[in-house]
Amino acid sequence: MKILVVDDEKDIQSLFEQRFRKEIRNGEIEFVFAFSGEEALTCYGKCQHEAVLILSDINMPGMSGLELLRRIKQIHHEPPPVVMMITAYGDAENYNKAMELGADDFIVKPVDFIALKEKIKSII
Amino acid sequence: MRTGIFIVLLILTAGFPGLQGYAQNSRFADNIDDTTRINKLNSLAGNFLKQNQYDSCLKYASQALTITENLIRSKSVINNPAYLKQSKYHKIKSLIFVAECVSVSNPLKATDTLLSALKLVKETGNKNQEAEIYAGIGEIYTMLAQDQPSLVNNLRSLAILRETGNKKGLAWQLTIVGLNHRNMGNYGDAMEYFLESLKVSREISDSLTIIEALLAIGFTYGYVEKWKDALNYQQQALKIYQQMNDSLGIARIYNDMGVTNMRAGNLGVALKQHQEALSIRLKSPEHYYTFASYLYIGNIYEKLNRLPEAIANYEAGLRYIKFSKYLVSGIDAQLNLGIVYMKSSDYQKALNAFSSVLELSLKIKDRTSEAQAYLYIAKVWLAQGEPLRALTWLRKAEKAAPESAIVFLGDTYQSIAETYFKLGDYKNAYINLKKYDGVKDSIIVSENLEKITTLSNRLEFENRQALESENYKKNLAINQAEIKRGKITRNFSLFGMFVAVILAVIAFVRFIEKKKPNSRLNDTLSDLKSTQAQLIQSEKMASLGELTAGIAHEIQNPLNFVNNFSEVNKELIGEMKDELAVGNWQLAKEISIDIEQNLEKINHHGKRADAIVKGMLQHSRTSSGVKEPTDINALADEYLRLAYHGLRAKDKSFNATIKTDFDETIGKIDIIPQDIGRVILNLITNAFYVVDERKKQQPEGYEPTVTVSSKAVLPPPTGGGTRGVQISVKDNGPGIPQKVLDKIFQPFFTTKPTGQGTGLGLSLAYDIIKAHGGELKVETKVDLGSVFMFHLPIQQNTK
Repeated sequence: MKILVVDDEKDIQSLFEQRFRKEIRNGEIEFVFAFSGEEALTCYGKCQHEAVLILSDINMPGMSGLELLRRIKQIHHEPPPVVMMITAYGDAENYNKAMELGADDFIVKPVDFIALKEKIKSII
Repeated sequence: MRTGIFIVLLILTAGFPGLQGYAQNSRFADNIDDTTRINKLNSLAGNFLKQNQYDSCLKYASQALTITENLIRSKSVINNPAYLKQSKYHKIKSLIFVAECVSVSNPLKATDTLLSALKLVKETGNKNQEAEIYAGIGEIYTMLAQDQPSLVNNLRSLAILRETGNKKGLAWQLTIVGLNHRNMGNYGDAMEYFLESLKVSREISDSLTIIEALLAIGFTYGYVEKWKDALNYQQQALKIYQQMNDSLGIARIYNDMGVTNMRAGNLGVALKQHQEALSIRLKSPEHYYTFASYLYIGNIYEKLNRLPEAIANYEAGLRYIKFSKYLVSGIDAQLNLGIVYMKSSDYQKALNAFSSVLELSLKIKDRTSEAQAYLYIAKVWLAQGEPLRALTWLRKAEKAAPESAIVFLGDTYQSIAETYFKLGDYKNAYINLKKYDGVKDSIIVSENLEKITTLSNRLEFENRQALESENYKKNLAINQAEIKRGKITRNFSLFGMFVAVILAVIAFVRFIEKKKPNSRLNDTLSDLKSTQAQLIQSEKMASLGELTAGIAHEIQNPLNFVNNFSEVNKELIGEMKDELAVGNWQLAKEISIDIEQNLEKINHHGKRADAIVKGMLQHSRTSSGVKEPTDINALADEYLRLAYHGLRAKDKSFNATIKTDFDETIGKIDIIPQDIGRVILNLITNAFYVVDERKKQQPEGYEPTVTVSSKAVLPPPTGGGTRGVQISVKDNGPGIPQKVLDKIFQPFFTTKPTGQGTGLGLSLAYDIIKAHGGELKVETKVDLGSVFMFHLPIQQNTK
């Protein structure tokens, strides 16, 4: 299972790799990282048949996570990827916007990785 | 014009039994002589009072008072209860005259005099005089703009009059109490009293009180901006005057209707009515009213922008005021005249007019009009391109203006700022703009408050209308029947006698009406003044709130790392222990390296959270004004984030690409961090605003981009220059047109829609950079964008 993680903060890679080190070691999950919306879109274009799950930040310079979400949902792909938004901005407006655009989940930072892991496992 | 009510109250007591009873007693021959003298003196005092000759009135009333006091002390009188009572009646009468004469110049003394009269009247038990005294006290409180005690005393008077069955006095007093309520803004209550007055007046067929009630009702409608109804009632009053063939009364109503039409915006009709009134006034010896009519006409011409006609009428009016006792009213006229001359660029004549205003203001010691005179003289100099001379007068205006005259104060500060700006003294311009800003808030708040008050009054007023319209129809029928039957003629002789008095009443009531809203406004303003500081502070906090809304969320990002890396470390330590337990040293060591790296990350993000909070606090603090060694790159970066996330928090659709290019060789430089931070924040916010605006107009194919960069500037090798730092904020917005470019550093200039920008940001930035010995510049190309950059010199002692 391939997961695309999108965030403008570089440390997010190290964090995910350590948090999911057992799953990575066992080959259960494979992570791909993108550090901007644009990069994520390119990456998704290249490996869309592999990516099952996209975890994206919302507030990023340039293309925002919501814009990325909108574009990904426009690309018709079967089965459609599950997109979870991860953001520091847990306000109602952001939430509603994300839901409107077809986000599958909305996670507020700081991330509870135990809960996240369970969610991911339920998708697999 | 201030006599009014007291004389009217004489009508109340006119029915007193008079002097019969003791005249037959020959033993009191000299006393009878005294009584005759007292009567003469009192009647003289009354006549002078009618003519507003207070000094003469006071002289004769005091003489009458002295004689009555001697009489009351004399044995022969003490032994004759009827005569003693009679003498006390005269004394009270004289006391009331005295009180009236000094009521304007010394209201406290007037009140004291009336209170001693009140004590005396309790002994004689003359109810009509008692009612008169209470009404007199009420009137003084009205004059002092103390509505509540005025109402209390007027109501006492009213209660007595209801008891005694003095219908005419009752009709008057009902109107007076109605006016009390109107002054307090209770238009509905006022209306009830006016309507009752109208009813009572019609019962006794007293045309004068009918007219006063009708006009009071008309004016109340005017207060709540129901012009049609106001005119309707004024029309009814007009009809009565026409029936009575009373030309001055007709002129009076024409003026009233003119005022109503002017306020309703029917300038043409208003002009005709005032001119109609004027043609009547010109035949009358009452110069004040001729003056007033000219003033009204001039006013309308000014509003119609027909300046030569306005000037002609103001000047004509001023010729009449010279013959009148009310020189003070000339101030308004001279001021208007000066303003019109200024509008017509006739500066010398404008100066003359304003000098007259000054002279009169100094004479009557009115600080508000004095300040106005200074302000306008300054404006004349300013209009002639002499800012230095203007400044001298503006300083005088600032000094003279009482705090309650907040509108002039605001106007003055604005003019001072403008003048300093013209003189190139931006610092003082800014200081005065800030003062203006402070006052401006109060002005706006008070205007809004007034608007709200008017609105709620109107609502309450309309609720009472159902009741009113019922009475109105009934009364109108009665009134018409009366006029037809000619009952009205009964009051003719009386009217002839008191016509001057009545006019004075009207003028007085007008005077009070004119004075009232101002004094109430002043009260409101003084209340507001105390909350003004809080208002401004909360305004500041609101804008801070907008910025920090983003920050409060933003802090979750570093916290996400701090929490999660520390949890990971906990797990890793567990794993490391396991490895150590089985003796797997190599793996344990590798894990310990991971732990160490994570700790560094925790530390890094903890510091980041710290910086965000500190930045937030720093922004909310006022400037320390102290230069300190500051990493300007970090400062710029921090404010860039602050601006970006602040805007994001406000507007979710906002987005822009941010680029930074910081010169790491700069190190720390000595600056006031809060001030420079504010400049950077302002430049970045502006940049975000313009790229966002462009994006909205051009959604496709445009990438909003803002670049912030810093550069160390070395002195030229040839020497002479100084080391410095250049910070620039570049946007790819639409660029700034030349027209706008000339003004961007001017205070209050903004291209943003009303209410969205203060227009002070860049001018403030300019001043801050200048104060740092630097320079703020802009380069712009239409369609390509703008670069705002500032250069700061680095002092030698920088670390």
